[in-house]
Amino acid sequence: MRRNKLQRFASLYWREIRAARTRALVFAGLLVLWLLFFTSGLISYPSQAIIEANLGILTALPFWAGAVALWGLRGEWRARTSELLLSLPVPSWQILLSKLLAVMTEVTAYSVGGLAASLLFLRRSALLALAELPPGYWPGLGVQQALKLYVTYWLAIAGMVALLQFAFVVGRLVPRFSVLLSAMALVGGGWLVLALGTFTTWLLNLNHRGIHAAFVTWRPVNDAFQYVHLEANITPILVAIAMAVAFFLASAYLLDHQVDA
Amino acid sequence: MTGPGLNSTNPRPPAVSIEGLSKFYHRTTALKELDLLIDGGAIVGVLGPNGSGKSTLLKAIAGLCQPDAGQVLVSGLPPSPRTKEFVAYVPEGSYLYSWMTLGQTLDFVGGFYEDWDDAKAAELVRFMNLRLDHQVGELSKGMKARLRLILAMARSADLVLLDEPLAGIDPPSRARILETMIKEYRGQEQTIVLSTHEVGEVEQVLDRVVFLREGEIVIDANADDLRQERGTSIEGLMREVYQ
Repeated sequence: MRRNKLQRFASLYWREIRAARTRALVFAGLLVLWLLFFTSGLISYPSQAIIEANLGILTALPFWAGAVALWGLRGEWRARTSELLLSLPVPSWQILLSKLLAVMTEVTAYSVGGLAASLLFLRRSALLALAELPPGYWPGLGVQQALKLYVTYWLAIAGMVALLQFAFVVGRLVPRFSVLLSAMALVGGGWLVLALGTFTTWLLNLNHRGIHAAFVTWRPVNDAFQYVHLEANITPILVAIAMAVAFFLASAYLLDHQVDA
Repeated sequence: MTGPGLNSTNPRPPAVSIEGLSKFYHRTTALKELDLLIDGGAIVGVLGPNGSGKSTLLKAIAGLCQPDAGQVLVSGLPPSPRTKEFVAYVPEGSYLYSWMTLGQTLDFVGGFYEDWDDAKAAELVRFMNLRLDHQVGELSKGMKARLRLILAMARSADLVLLDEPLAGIDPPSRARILETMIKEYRGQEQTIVLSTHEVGEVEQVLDRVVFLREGEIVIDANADDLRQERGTSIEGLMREVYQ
């Protein structure tokens, strides 16, 4: 029964994953309904539109992740299971990290699972769409750019979850005003990331060191493929990552020293 | 205030040492400049009516409630993950995951403690008439109370904190819980601090009693001495003090 430190952390993480089973079933059910709708032939649409429509999953996931992150923490205090978690001989950062990783596991599973299911259900449409891509784009460049965008997307959600955890923990400092305090911490934290990002960009002048990503997308307006070129300055991205880590550490500190279970 | 159990020649730090502990919830004072010293190897009853600060005191010792003033030391250390390794805290009411089975709960909690004994947990489950495949959410109040006690007693924790272990529990469960507490108590090696507002059944097991009123200690004495001195039971004394 005795576990080492890593196994204890794994136990916290696994508990989060098991608690997410019902949510995963709901998501899988919604995904199947979504794909059945596309394959039912109830409406007619260009094959490329299917691929675009499935990006809806990626658009909805950050909201889903945010809700799950807040819901998960709030639920612990509402059900008083926070007393069990915080009485365990583990530092609070491990509890928060297990929750963050569990949310990100869900995000990864749903995005990759959604994509795989889309390709499986809609492979004829997907093949038609891929056939229309400009020569040389698929698979080499396309996969590379998609991965680059996906990693940025994944990190952005992880940062947002860390900020939401921070906002929740700040709210617990004064339970009577928890909603107000959490909202202020969320808005203030977001503003701080933007302000510091802008300031450091100006200070360090690293505009030339950017992240570039180019991808092809289908535009329903003119029924054609277009290249979209994204260029992001690396300074605010690095600042956002550093701030997410700072929010995470601050949450763990507050949970250890200031917040009641 | 120094407790009657203090032995100045004892080289080990006291099990619990509290100085000037205050805790406020908005306009309510839960604990007011409370001093308390508990040496190891005793069963201490923290007594008082609802709202007297019993639960807050136990939570502060367990490290689950942050003091507004004062200091809490457990075996000479401030509450931290280190102290949680040898403190077993059992709060009042449900604090377990309702979707877990009893077996999963024991497996989850037990894995965090070096002093957890699987065989003892299995024996306690049998003794308490519980089943490992029962889902926590479907257990009765009495069964949940028994499970909570198993989580504390399957360990060899130096300090056991039980918050209202008998509150709202049916008589058969109360008897089982008390029997287990007495059976599993490890004498000089272990300290049990239990809070209750119904002292009747637990009176027999208490070595020392601490009466709380509005966050302050009004009586702190050896249970036998107190009974002899006042010529009444602790339960009778409680009625006098809190009438």
